[in-house]
Amino acid sequence: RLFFFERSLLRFSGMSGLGPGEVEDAGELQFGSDFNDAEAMLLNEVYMMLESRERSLIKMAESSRAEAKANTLASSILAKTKQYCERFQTPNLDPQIRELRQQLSRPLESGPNVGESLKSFQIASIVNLQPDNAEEAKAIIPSLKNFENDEVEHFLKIYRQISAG
Amino acid sequence: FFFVACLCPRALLHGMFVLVHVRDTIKLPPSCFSKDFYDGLKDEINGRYTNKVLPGIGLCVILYDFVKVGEAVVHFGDGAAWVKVEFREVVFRPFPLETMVGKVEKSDASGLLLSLGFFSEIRVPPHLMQQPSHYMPEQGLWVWRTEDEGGANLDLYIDVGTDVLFQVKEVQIDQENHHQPPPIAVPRDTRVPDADKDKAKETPEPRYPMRITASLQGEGLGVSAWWEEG
Repeated sequence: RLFFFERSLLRFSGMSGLGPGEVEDAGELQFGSDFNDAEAMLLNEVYMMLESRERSLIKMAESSRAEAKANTLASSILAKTKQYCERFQTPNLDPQIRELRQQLSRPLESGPNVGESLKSFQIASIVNLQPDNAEEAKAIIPSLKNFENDEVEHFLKIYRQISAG
Repeated sequence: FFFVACLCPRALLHGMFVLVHVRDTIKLPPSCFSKDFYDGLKDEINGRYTNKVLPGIGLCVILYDFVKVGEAVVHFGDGAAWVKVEFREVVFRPFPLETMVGKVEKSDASGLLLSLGFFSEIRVPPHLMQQPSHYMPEQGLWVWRTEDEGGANLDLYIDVGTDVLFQVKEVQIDQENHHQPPPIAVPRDTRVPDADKDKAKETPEPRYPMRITASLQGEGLGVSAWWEEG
């Protein structure tokens, strides 16, 4: 059963969709003017959320049979999403996620793009796709083309250092 | 894990999960009052949002955190508490040009239906297969006719149940959510006038409010075994 949400009750800040003439293309980093600040999640982060939800659903099921029944569908969807994240997430990353986000969000301190920093979507893409070098990074994350190769290497180096633990 | 022999996205791919701010008024039924307030609120929100498509936004997965929680106002009559909340929801919402791995769930003349497990409305139309591809009606499979190193014809089939690497071409999320539940099956021993029977048949299959068009065209896309070295 899918709900029809009344617009008066739900107001989505920052996610109102595309305006006229706006083109959605991940290469240009234009997901509709409001989407640019969207917090993109790492698969590892989603996985952690789902795991803790699964634990509380199990606890709830133990305490009430009715709840257990109601939660079966929800838990199977969550289980499938969790399975997907588990399969494709970066291994051994959990303790480092916050540091990774922090370090990769820092603006460049010199060079032609001084002051620029990676957008949330780009950080998630680097961590999720793990490009080997600047060239590969720019090929698979087209929005990085605005950075110099050196600058992309700089970001990749940070990622490698932190994920090497 | 599979090896892709060129400058292409490697095995560890992703679909886009984003955080969306939502403001809503949640009804907490009296049965929830015995639980911890926030737990009750969390359960109500997840019960209401998980696996639902937010119009124009994407597929809700789970509540991430609370931004603002208002006071609970109890209404006369139903005894439920109404709480104004602002929260962040994890939403599945891929973008064009993203590459992901999906399993072939269905294969017919209209193309392929791919699934991620938790989301299955991903279609590869014939014109977005590797070219040239054609459909084999006897087997119900799509086949890409290409050449091997020697220049001989090589027919590469896409079996149902295989994993394929695809690129998101288009994401359609309805702005209005008119998904109706399917018509209730009429029990066999009930006599239904013929006119009503025809009407039930005419009711179109409700369209799922979020649909992805995917492409298998391009180097590295399709079945991973196609690209493995020697």
